[in-house]
Amino acid sequence: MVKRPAELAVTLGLLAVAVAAFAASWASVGGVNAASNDQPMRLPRILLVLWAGLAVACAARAAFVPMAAPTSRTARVGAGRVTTFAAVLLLTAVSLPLLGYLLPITIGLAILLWLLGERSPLRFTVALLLLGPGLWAVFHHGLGMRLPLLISGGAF
Amino acid sequence: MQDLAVILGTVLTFSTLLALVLGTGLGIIIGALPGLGSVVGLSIGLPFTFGMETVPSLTLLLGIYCGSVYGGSVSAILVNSPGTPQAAATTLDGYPMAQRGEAGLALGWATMSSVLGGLFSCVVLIVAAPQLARFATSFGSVEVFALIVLALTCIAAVSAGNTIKGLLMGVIGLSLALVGTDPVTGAARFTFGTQFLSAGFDLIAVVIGLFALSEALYRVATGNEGTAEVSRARIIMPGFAAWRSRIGTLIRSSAIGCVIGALPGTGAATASFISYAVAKQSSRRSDNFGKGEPDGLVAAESSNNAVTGSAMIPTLALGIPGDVVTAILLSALVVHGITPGVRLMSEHLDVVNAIFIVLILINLVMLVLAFPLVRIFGRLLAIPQHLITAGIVIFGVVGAATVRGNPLDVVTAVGFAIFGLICRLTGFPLAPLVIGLVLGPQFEQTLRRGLLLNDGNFAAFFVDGPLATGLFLCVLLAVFGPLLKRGLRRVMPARALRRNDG
Repeated sequence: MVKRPAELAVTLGLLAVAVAAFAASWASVGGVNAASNDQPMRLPRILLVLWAGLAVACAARAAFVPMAAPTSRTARVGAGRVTTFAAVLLLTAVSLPLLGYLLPITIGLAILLWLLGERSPLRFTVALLLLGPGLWAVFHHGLGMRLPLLISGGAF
Repeated sequence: MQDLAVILGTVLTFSTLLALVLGTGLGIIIGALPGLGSVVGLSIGLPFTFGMETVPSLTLLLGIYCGSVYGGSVSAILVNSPGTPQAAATTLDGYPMAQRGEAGLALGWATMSSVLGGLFSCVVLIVAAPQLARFATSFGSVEVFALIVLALTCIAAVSAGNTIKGLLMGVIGLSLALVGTDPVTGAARFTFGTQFLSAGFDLIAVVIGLFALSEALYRVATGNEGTAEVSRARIIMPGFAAWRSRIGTLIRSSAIGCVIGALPGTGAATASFISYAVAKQSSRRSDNFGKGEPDGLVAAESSNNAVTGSAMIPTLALGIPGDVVTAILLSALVVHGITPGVRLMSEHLDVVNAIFIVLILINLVMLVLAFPLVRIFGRLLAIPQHLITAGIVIFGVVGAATVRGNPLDVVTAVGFAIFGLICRLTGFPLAPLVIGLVLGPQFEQTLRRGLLLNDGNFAAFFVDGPLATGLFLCVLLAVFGPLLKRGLRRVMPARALRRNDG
């Protein structure tokens, strides 16, 4: 019986990343300077081997050593909610390069506020306008810090 | 004297003074709001610094840092909920004082102790950092490499969880730092043919993801809603007579904070608990500890604020960040074109001197700002937690989007936020990863230069000189010390048992 299944799953995931990156390190060929005899992938490979070794040690510990204190129950209760929240956040982030800042953030923020449980129409509207278009106006136009645009050179 | 006038000329500008007041005020508010700590505060403050000059931007961040460490004590005293982990020891005596109607006095003790502890550490920083920096200029590539390995090992060794997890996260941080174009040969490493990854992961986007955005996700996961009941209070300063018997506690606790703050990977929470324990042992009023004893407040608050200055000693003198806060401060330096390292003090003495002055001013401004901010604290605490969570998300997104003007950095930040949440829930420490990412480029540079100097012989690193050998021995001690200690603990009871049987 595995003592810490969640920790084991994370560790095995990290191990898989290390193995995949190690394999990818041999496939990489781009842009090598022929004048230099230095090996750019030597240190990354050493670190990936270390990474994998430490991940194996962590996996063994997660599999056989029992937990000192039980996992917080509250963390498990909110798993579905946080997954939806993270998915909306990721979708918003992915749409930024395509649709600019203002549109995805306003729509994404509205969904996030709803997911966070904001049901008061007044507070919802004020929070949405202040944190969405309000903050965009402050940074993009007020402070001159350019946020992603819908159309290159456009106002939004 | 002329130098001092030049430094003051750099610091006493409108933009720096504005950043000083805004940063410190924002820091106190963020620190006072339970759940938001120094790191989240700095992550929120980062995007504002991108368009600023170096000194005002560092002033803003240092103000947030120092202010948040003090701010944690306000909610610790008034609502028995430390705003930051650093203020956890403050609740032990602060809240009992508030319960018996002495909240104002407790805030007065905490404010004065914080300011005096902070000023004490500024003096230590000003005296110690240049000495250490002078010594550090004699470091060659091998010594710097050994120093980075030692710093990462120490941070991993004292990380929450265990040493192996800390080491794993440190190695992941170093590996992530190597993604992108190799600076020596120009080869693409782990870019998978994309232009975006050729410049590597942006440090600030990763920090925002791992700390600010993952904090928001953590709040959603754990249902951190609701608002606390606050007992309204005004700061009442304790009289000189009451201080006289507590000056010893103040100096001792500030000294403990300074020593612990200078060590990589420890921090203010550790310092305040150690100081509290030492004060309890040595105080004439030890029976009163935990029941509302000002000695406990003085010990906890002076030591956690003393950490703020001394944590800057290895950061400024050696370019080695001791924790996430100083790693973020170093990343802000990188944004402004200043490379952290052992020559930071010799090459950018103007910036370092300005930091010294700014730290002193922050502690003085904190004393002034504490009075009005404590009064409006009740109103601030009335902001629903879910709106604060939404605010953290938006500031995080803005910060990641503006750092390089690349919207894909937001995707990176969200990806690291999800990873950070998983790590938090499964007990993997995040600090070694960030510090690995900060030190990664320097780690590789010094290693490769050292190998060139030693004809590719890595074994020669260990005997390069007494300093390098000593540093590597310390690394071994940091890795195997806890294992030896655990082994000895197992052997000792067994021996005692055999002796008893005999």
